[in-house]
Formats: sequence, C-alpha cells, structure tokens
Amino acid sequence: MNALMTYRNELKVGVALVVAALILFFGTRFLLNLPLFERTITYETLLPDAGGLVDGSLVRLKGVVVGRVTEVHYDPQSGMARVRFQIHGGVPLPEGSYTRIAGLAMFGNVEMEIVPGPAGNPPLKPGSRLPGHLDGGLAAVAEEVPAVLQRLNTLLERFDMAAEAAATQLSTPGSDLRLTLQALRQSTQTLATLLQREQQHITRTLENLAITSDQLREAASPTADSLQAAAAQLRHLLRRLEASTASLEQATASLDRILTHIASGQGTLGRLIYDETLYLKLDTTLTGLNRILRDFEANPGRYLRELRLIDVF
Amino acid sequence: MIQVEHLYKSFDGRAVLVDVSLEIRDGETLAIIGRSGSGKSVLMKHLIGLLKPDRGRVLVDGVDINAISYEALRRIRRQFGVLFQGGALFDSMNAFENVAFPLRTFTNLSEAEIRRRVQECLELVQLPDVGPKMPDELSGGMKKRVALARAIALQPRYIIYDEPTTGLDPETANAIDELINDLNHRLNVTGIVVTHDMHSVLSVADRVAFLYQGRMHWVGTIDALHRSDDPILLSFVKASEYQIGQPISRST
Amino acid sequence: MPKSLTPFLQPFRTLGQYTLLLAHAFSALGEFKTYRKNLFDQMVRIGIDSIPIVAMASAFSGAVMTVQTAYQLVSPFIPKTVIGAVVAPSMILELAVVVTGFILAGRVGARIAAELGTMRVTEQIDALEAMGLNSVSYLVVPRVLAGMIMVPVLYVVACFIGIASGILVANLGGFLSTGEFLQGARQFFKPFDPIFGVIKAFVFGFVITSISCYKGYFTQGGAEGVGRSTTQAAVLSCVYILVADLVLAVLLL
Ligand SMILES: Nc1ncnc2c1ncn2[C@@H]1O[C@H](COP(=O)(O)OP(=O)(O)O)[C@@H](O)[C@H]1O
Ligand SMILES: [Mg+2]
Repeated sequence: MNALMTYRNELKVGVALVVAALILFFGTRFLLNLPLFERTITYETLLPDAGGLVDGSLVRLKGVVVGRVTEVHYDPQSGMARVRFQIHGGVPLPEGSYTRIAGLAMFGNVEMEIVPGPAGNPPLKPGSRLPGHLDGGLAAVAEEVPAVLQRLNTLLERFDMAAEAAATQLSTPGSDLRLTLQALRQSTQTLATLLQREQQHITRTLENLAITSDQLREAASPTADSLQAAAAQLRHLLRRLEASTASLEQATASLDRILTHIASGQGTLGRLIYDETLYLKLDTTLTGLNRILRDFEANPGRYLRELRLIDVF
Repeated sequence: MIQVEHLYKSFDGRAVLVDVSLEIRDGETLAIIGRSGSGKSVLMKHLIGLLKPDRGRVLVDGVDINAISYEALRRIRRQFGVLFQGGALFDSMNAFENVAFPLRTFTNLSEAEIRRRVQECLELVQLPDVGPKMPDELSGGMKKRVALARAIALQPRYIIYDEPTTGLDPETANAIDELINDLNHRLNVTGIVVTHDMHSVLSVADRVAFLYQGRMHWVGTIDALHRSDDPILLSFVKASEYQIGQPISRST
Repeated sequence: MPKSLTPFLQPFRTLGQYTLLLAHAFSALGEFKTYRKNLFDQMVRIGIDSIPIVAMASAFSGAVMTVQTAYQLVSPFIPKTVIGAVVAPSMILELAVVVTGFILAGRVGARIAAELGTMRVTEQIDALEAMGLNSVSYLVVPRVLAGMIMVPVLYVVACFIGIASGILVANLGGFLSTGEFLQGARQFFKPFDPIFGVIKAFVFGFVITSISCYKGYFTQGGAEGVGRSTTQAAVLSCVYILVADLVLAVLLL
C-alpha cells in the first residue's frame, strides 16, 4: 500500500471541504456582485436615517452597482445609522464623496448611492468615513440665510434714512422723540456696519457649506452631531431675524407715514409731537425695535454664534 | 483473582441474578454452567463491567470495578480476552483485521509484527487461511474460532469464553477444548468457561459453578461434581446425557 | 415508583439517556487516535458517497421551483427577475438544506442505526468495550462529527447545483435569461443567507447522526429491534430536522 492509498479517504474529504469552501466563498461574492478575485475596499458612512438599508443592499455609483452594504447598525454616540460597505477595489472615491439613500423600503429595494466628490480630489483612504447625504434642512437653511440677511440689511439702511429725515425735521431740541430717533439711528448704523462686515463672512461660509462637501466631511468627524444642532440653531436664528425684520419694516412704515403727514401739511409737527397717542404709539414701536437692535449691537455674537458655528467646519 | 460478592441484577423488574457469590482463582479454569436463560452471560458481563449490578460487588485483583473511573475500568478490561457467544466479529473488517484490531489499537507493533502475531493466533485456532475472508463468508464455528484468535491476540491474563463449543462439530469442539487447556497450562491463563456442554466442562474445568434460577446453586471441583447427589445438579447433568462416573461421547 | 407514572417519565428517561450518550461522546473527543480512521471513513460514507443523490435531488428541486414560480407569476406587472429572486433565496435558505437533510435522514440515519443496532445485538459493541476500548468514542464520535462536518459540504453542493439547474431550466424553458435570473437572485441576496444555511446544515448533521447513533447504540431485541431502530432513526431524524429548522429560523432570523 502506498501512502496515497492509505490516505485515500483523507484526500477525498480534504478535496470536498476545500471545494465546498471555495463555492461558498466565491458563490457569496458572486451573488453579492463583488469581483471574484479583485480585492474590495471597505468604507463607512453615518446616515441620519438608514431608511431600511440592510447588509447586502446594493451600493451604486452613478447608477452602476459597485458594491454592497456589509453592516448597518445604530450608533448611539452620534445618534445616527452607521453603515459599512464594500466596493470594488478598482473604483476610486475622491475626497468629498458622500452617500445617500435611494429607493423605497416598502419595495425592498433600498440602495445606497455614492455621490462622488470632485474628480480632481485625492482618493479617500480605505476604511475612511464618508459623510451622509446633506440634511435637506441644513441645505435649505443655508440657501435661505443670505436672502434674509440681505433683506435685513436693506431695511436697516432704509430705516436709517427715514430716521435721519425724521430727526432733522423734528428740530425741537430736547424732544424725547428726537432723542429716541437719534439713538436709534446710531444703533442702526452700527448694526448695518456690523452686518455688512459679517455678511461677507457668513455668505462665504454658507457658500462653502453648500458647495464644498469636502469641508462638511471634516465637520462630520469631530463635531458630527453639531451638524444637526447647527441646522436647528440656524433655523431659529433665521426666525428671530425675520421677526426683527418685520418689526423694523413696521417701524419704517410708521416713520414714513408721519413724515408724509408732516409733508402734506396735515397738522403741525408740534401737534403731532404733543399728540400723546401718536407719540406713544411711535415710541413703543421704536423702543421695542431699539431694544432688539441694541441687543444685536451689544451682543452680535449671540445672534451670529450659530452662523459662526459653521465657521469651524 | 476475581471475586463476585452477593450480586443482584434484574431487568425491568425481572430478577436474573439473585445473591450470586463466586471466586475465580488465578490460574484455574472455572466452568459456569446452567440452563439457557439462567443468567450465565449476564453474570459473565458483570465480570468485566459491561453490566452494572443492582447490588453487590465484583472485585478484580481486589479492585471493585464498579467503584472506579471508566478509564481505570478500561485498563482492567485490557487484561481480559472475551469470546462472545456469537463471536461478535466486527463485520466491517475481514478476519485478519479483526484479529489485528486489538493489536493495532493497543500496541505499537510494526505492521510486520502485527502480521506475524495475527498469523500465529489464526494458526492456534487452526484457521491459518481465513485472513482475507469477511465474517459473512465464515461458518458459525469458524467465526467463533476467529473471535477466539482475536481474544487471545493481546495475551490476556483472563479469558472468558461464552459458549465456546456450542453449535460446533465435535472435532472442532475438541480442538477448542484443547486450546483452552493449552492456554491455561502453558500460559497460566485464568479461564472462565460459560457453557452447558458437559463434555467441554469435563475436559477443561478445574471447578464448576452451577447457576440455577438466578442463584449460585452449587460450586465445586470436578471430583466433587462426580460425587455430588444434589438432585437439581444431577438432573441438569443427566439432561446432558452425561452419566456420572462414565464419560460419554460428545453428542452433536 | 408507581407503575402508572412510567409512561410519563419515559420521554425524560429517553432525553436523559440521549444527553448522557452525547456527553460521553464529547468527553471522549480528545481520544482522536481512537476514531481518526473511522472519522475519515464516515466522512466519506456520509458525505462523499451522498454527493450524487444530494446533487440529483437538489437539481430537481431547483428545476421544479423555477418552472412552478414561472407558472405562478405570469403577469405583465411582475418582472421576470422575480423568478430568480424567489428561487435563489429559497434554495439557499431552505430547500437545499432541508432536501439534503431528508435524504440523509433516510440514507445516513437509517444506515447508522442499522449498523450500530446490528453491532449492539451481535455483541460487537460489548466486544469493543471488553477490549478496553471506549465504544462511544469509537462509534458515535466519528459519525456525529462526520455529520456535522459533511452535511454543510453537501448543503453547499446542493445550493450550487440547485441554483445552477434553476438557471438552466429558466433558459431552456424560455422563462428568463441567465442575466435576468441572476439580477433577481442578487436583488435580495444577503450574505448572511448562506451562513444561515451552513449553520442549519451543521445542526441537521448533528441531529441526524446523533439521533441515529442513539437509536442504534441502544437497540434491543435482536434483528427485529434493529429494524425498529432503523425506522425510528429515519423518522425521528426527519421530525427533528423540521423542529430544528423552525427553532433556528426563530432564533437566527
Ligand atoms: N440486556 C438485557 N435486557 C433485558 N433482559 C436481559 C438482558 N440480558 C439478558 N436478559 C435476560 O436475562 C436472562 C438471562 O440471560 P442470559 O444470561 O443471556 O442467559 P444464558 O444463561 O443463556 O446466557 C434472559 O431471560 C434474558 O432475557
Ligand atoms: Mg448466554
């Protein structure tokens, strides 16, 4: 008996085990749409909502299946869904790429889509984390902010003009109204300067935010959850600015009306000044507005902090 | 030395062995006789711990084999060679492999040494040529003899023969008896022969133990057997067509 | 103990005896030298020798599954790929492993029980023990291990052949193309599916061989007893395969 005969059974079993292992390994990769021999690269992404993604879900890049999701679980630290996925080794992902969910869980065809970053960027390192798709809210806010700021700025200028005109006409020295208006003018001027200065910065930041996902990726790593917080705070700030804008608009309108009254000769300025009701009305409006503006002037940081938050990105 | 002390065994509430005591001395050949179903095989299986007694003890060289670990029991068992009633050849192996099995399992002998030893054993049982045959291809008597060859392959201290001559032709039966005597005298093997073949008993046994209805009814030497007037023992012996004082020829 | 209680206690006795046999077997796992040769023998007999019948059965189930799914889903609103999406996962998750299990319950389970049963009633097991061998490690361990190792192998073969024959029939019958079949198959494929199948095959291998060894090892009553053990081994293996199937599905899915 030669050695091979003695170990015939061992040989058969060994061959069967190896063949089965190979079928299992390559069969799985085949059905996963992974290349049979090429190596794959694993990445990770944090998504605010996995939307029913499971391990095995397809990963597409520009509509082409390039890999599979391998692991989906909730990450308590960030409060988001942490998704690991493998893609073909031959597909480079430039920096600035991000992921998003496509398809409907209802039909069982949830997929993950990779939106590649600018082609010129260096490729991401294997195992690195891609940001999840930009939250629709934040993007929307980012688009909204410049317009609001613009409107506020214009109003401040208009109000400044109206207030100056009114103050000039109310030449009676020592008049309460005149003092009020003068103070107001100063505030608005400071504010307008400040806004002008800040606006450039804010606009730049927001532009970056909207366009350069690269910056956002970095933001996602150290202050991952601040992305969500920033969106909420931005929205809040926007509402406050809008409210201020509304008050200012009202005040400007009142001031315009008074000036028109005076100009059209419907009563004298003196009468107007001594007309308690009108005076009080105007004063209350302006005092309220003044408080906001003073506050704005005194603590621009409080209003702009949220915007500056984006700055750290 | 094997001592059986007050052994009780029942199956499903039916008593098979009742208060059986027995001593098997080193170097002797003891015959355990009794009618079919009297519990001879059950007693034999207790000697090597294949069955556990309900009560009582079995001591092999002073060791209670039911009070030791399975490992220790297995070591004790290796001093025994057992010829089972039907031979109990492994039917997945040919005759040669059957005899070689204990050698391969328990020794480090080379293949050549194993061959030599197997051939020796097969020649001892006068079947030098059956090596390549499968158990199916062997007659009942041949199976038993191959099984005996397997039982003696490791040169045990004790050999238990369960019905070694039952169903064999007289010539083969005589050859087996001679072999038992030979092993006993030449190698000083202690033999336990379970049988109801009185001819065999007379030609091999030093002492006889008679099991009757689960009890050890009578134990004594062959001489004592010749002189005994116990009616139950006599009726068993008579039924074997054996007349006390005058040996008979073996019936087939 | 009152006699009337005996029927109620029997299941516990059986379970205890079964568990003790397996405990004995696994405590003897270390005696590799005793069962090494038997292990490979059994792996060939349980595994390799079963490949043809398992391959044939899974080829037919894959083919039938494809034809029937195609027949059931004739509708312009249902994409053809659905056939692949039904056949492949069914094969991987359930059909391949259960078909393999049932075939082995009949083929291997019955054979093990008959083998060990015959060895028991002809005192071959006693002969092993009398020699000072651990009959459980010699007889039970290699069979159960071989089952646990080789049934997963057979499962992989069954999957492969089943899906391949599904694709073949899909093409030959003009139901859908290989590409469409694979697209469907891939659509809902999860990498855990084949792992789950392998786990099931592993458990089924254990169930079949351990039950059959138990039935065979404790056979009583001569040739008739061997017949009884053989039948019971095959039937019980099938029953417990289904039970294990359900339990695993509940536990792991
Ligand atoms: N394992 C067992 N289970 C139940 N009954 C048994 C078992 N072994 C033996 N018996 C019973 O014990 C009695 C004695 O059997 P045994 O010792 O084989 O008789 P013999 O003296 O012919 O060798 C018989 O009635 C037999 O049915
Ligand atoms: Mg007997």
